[in-house]
Amino acid sequence: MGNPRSFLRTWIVTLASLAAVVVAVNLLVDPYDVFGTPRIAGISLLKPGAKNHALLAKTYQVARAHPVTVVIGSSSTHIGIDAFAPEWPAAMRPVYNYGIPGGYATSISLRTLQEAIAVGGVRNAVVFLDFQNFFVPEHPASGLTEDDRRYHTTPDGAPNPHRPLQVANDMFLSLATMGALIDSLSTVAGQGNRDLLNLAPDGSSTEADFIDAARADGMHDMFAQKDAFEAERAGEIARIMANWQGKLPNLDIVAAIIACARHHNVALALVITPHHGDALEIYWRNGLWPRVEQLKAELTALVAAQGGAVTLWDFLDYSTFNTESVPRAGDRRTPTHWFWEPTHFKKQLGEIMIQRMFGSDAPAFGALLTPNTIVARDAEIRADRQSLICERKAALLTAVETAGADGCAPPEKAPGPT
Amino acid sequence: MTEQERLTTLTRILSDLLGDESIELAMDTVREDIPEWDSFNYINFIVAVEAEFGIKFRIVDVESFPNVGAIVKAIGAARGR
Amino acid sequence: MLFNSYTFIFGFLPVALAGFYALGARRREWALLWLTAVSLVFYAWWRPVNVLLIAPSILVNYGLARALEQTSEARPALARAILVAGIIFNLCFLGYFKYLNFIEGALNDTFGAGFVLTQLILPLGISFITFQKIAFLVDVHGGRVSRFSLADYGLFVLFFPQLIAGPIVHYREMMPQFRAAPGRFDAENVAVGLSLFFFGLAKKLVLADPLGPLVAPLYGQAAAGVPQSMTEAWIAALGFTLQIYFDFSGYSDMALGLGRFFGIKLPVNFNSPLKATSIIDFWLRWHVSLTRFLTAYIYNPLTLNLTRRRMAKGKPIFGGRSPNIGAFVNLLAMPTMLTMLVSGIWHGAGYTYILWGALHGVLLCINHAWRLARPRIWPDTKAYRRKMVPVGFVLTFVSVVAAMVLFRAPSPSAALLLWKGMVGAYGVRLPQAVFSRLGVVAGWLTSIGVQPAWTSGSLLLATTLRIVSLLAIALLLPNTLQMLAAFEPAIGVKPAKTPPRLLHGLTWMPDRVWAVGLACVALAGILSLGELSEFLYWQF
Repeated sequence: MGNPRSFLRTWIVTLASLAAVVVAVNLLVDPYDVFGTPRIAGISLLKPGAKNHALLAKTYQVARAHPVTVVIGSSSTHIGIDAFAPEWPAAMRPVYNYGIPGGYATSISLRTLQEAIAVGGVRNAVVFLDFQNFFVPEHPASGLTEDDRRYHTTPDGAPNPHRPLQVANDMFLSLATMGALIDSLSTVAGQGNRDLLNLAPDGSSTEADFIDAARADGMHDMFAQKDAFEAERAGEIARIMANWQGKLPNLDIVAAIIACARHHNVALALVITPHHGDALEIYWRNGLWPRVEQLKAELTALVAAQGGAVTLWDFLDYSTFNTESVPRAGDRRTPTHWFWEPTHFKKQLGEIMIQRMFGSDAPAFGALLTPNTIVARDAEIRADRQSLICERKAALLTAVETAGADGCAPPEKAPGPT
Repeated sequence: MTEQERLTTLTRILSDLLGDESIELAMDTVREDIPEWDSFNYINFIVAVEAEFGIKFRIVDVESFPNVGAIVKAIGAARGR
Repeated sequence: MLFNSYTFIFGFLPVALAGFYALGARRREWALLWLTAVSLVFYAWWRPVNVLLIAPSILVNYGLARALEQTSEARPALARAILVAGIIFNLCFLGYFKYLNFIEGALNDTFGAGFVLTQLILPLGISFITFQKIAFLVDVHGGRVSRFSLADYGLFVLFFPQLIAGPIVHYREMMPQFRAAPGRFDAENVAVGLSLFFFGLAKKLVLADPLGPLVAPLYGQAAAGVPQSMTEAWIAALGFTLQIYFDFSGYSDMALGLGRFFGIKLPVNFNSPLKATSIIDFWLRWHVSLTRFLTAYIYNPLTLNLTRRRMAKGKPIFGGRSPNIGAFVNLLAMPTMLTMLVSGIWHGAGYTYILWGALHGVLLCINHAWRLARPRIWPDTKAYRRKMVPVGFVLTFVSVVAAMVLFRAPSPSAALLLWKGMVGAYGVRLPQAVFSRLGVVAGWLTSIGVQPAWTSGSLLLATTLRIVSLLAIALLLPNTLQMLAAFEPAIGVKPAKTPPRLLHGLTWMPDRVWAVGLACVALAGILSLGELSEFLYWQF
């Protein structure tokens, strides 16, 4: 029949012991790398759990990494830039990848740059800028977000009084929540899989999610799915930009990024992130290419005003890298070289960019933008597009699907009666 | 009229109302015992009982009859007045 | 303060219980005063100004009740006037805070009246509290309540386990319990209370809450006028139904458990409503204490009076086997619609709630009409039950799920869009990833008109699995009232004479096995109290 008193005793003892076990497991596995518990082979060497908590995990990682160079950006940076790539010059190492996947905004780049500098030792910053983010005004969140409370400094550089409480909160939630427990258990269970998604201590992420998807669905479907998403986004952007007057939105955030780097004597490279031709075509066909050129011009002017302290790299072009062919539908074997899908470049392309910017003997990909080069660069990109898209040399998905609606200049014709 | 006779009358009224000849009411029967005897049929039953006996219950009493026996007793009390 | 918060579980509740037991060991009155005091703290926690709103209302109601008590025998006309004034006072109080904005907005919509909408502070739980106060006044007037003090009344209104979200209780079922409460630690009460509370906590946090972010974008899109395919529309409807189901079920269990810690049993409020085999049955299982209130204080008085009047005029009423259209409309359809409209408005100030109430009213009328007509159409009751109970279940389930769309949708037009989606007006879409994995079946799907879309396959899979498993829990497993029946978890709950088959291994007992099992349930709930905010990165 049972006895209520012994029921209560058993209940409380079981609850307390299980809770202790959960906390111990979460501390040992440390799925979000919050505590920096040493990684143990077979238990916690690879960390897939940080996937949905990247800003949390990386803000704790960067404080331990003491990087000389910090790479800032969105998910494409997070996945495509290897902080340990051999192309990084010795003087720039160690490098930390502070790219943030999911819910990205340029204002996050400013805050993460401030944070990387606040933890000390940063001499170089490489900040990747996604062009789409400059067509939709960012509105600062009302009130402090959890992430704002976590950084060492407030936006104006003063010590952040909310940090201790937020750190306590983060630690508690990383130890005593169901989500953390599930992530710990799947971390341990996944260790046998060599392709497990991993967030390395230097902030670099493996491309496991893309590898799995490519294996399951093939490259064609990955491109097609993202094309559908970008098409929707481009339509939205076209509506906003239709009546936009004056300077593009969010350039003040870039100005703040530059000011922050210069104030702390950090060498800054701004990088316009490469996108695959599928994405470029979607924006082109929404009439947004003049806006892309406007963005490049305004960034160039902003950087030129710094008198050489900041460089601006442009990888957003119709080069052969960005216009590689997309495998056909149903083909799940043929790989791509440079892109996982239109907005995420592969690490191979990331390495070429690192070499191009900081090394020597790099392939001719991208260009430094200055007031002297920009006009020629724009013209060159338009010419590349004419030959690659209009003359059907590149097998792009969007080009195939929307043939005839490509907005190409009509072929030169001899004047005559119409 | 004895309590037993009133109970028989109540049983007849409810059987007619629900169209179910198999209903048998006892003094301790509660509404939940009869599947179709929902709040709506309950009111009809009460009004039919009022008509049959020529009485009028108070609404608060209608709400708080705990079982059939209480209705039988309330009829007695009302007729006795 | 929410039941599902660290502050409540690890701060407020232990303090409230320790004080109650300690004081109760000396004098019960002290323990009850303590309970009133902590309830007030509980109420004030979120916004202290709430106390300034509720305290005067308690005092006014207490005064009215005293006046009623003294006049009800001697001067019935005056008592009636006081009662009417009291009801109007309470309804105005509720109306001002809950409905003023809605009414002004509706007038603006209809007549272009230029009311400026001001955001009023809605005192927590005001809908529940108002109904209880009205019921109390009616009970005092009817002589069903006697012998009450301000302390009694305050505790009745403020008792925190049922303060902000029910169940709606009657004075006459609570006060005798408070007066008889042992006021001391009782291992059985605490064991039953703990079990109910943590079952409820886990239901809310582990089962209900994760559905919120899954369905929210679908209702958001519908509100923005984006049509949803059959797949998405049904996920929106089923997902929200299950979300509110487990939220309400969990909340009701927590309330029962908390009352039990103090030795108090609350009335049944939630009894596996999705297992209902008719709409009438649904309302006897869903929000039972509200149905009870509406029946007792609106529906019954109304029909009683209407029926008597009709009878006095010699018009046909119900009874016998000759239902009559006039009687049906006047004595059943009209009061039912009126009651359900009140129910709808009570749930929220908005067109969607009114329509939700009206829809359920219509469904109830159809159900009643069928009940009246069925014996003539299909006289064999046994055969009818055997064959039609499963049909009744399916019809009820679909109706309830479809109606829930109105409850969640931000506007009637959004609900309409989702309903059209549910019947296939915007086609059926499945993620491309599903097609790529189905081989031959994919071709067959295409041939019946299912279209591929670039939506997330893994998200659809996870959502479908969640919905199916929650449906299985709701429809197949016994509920907590059945599991704990031997210990009367709610007022009047007794073990069934023929317990459902699945209950055999699931009958609660204060033994080791249940202690360990419930420790796991409690841990799952506690671990879900907080979570790291995450960005769901649905790439594929």
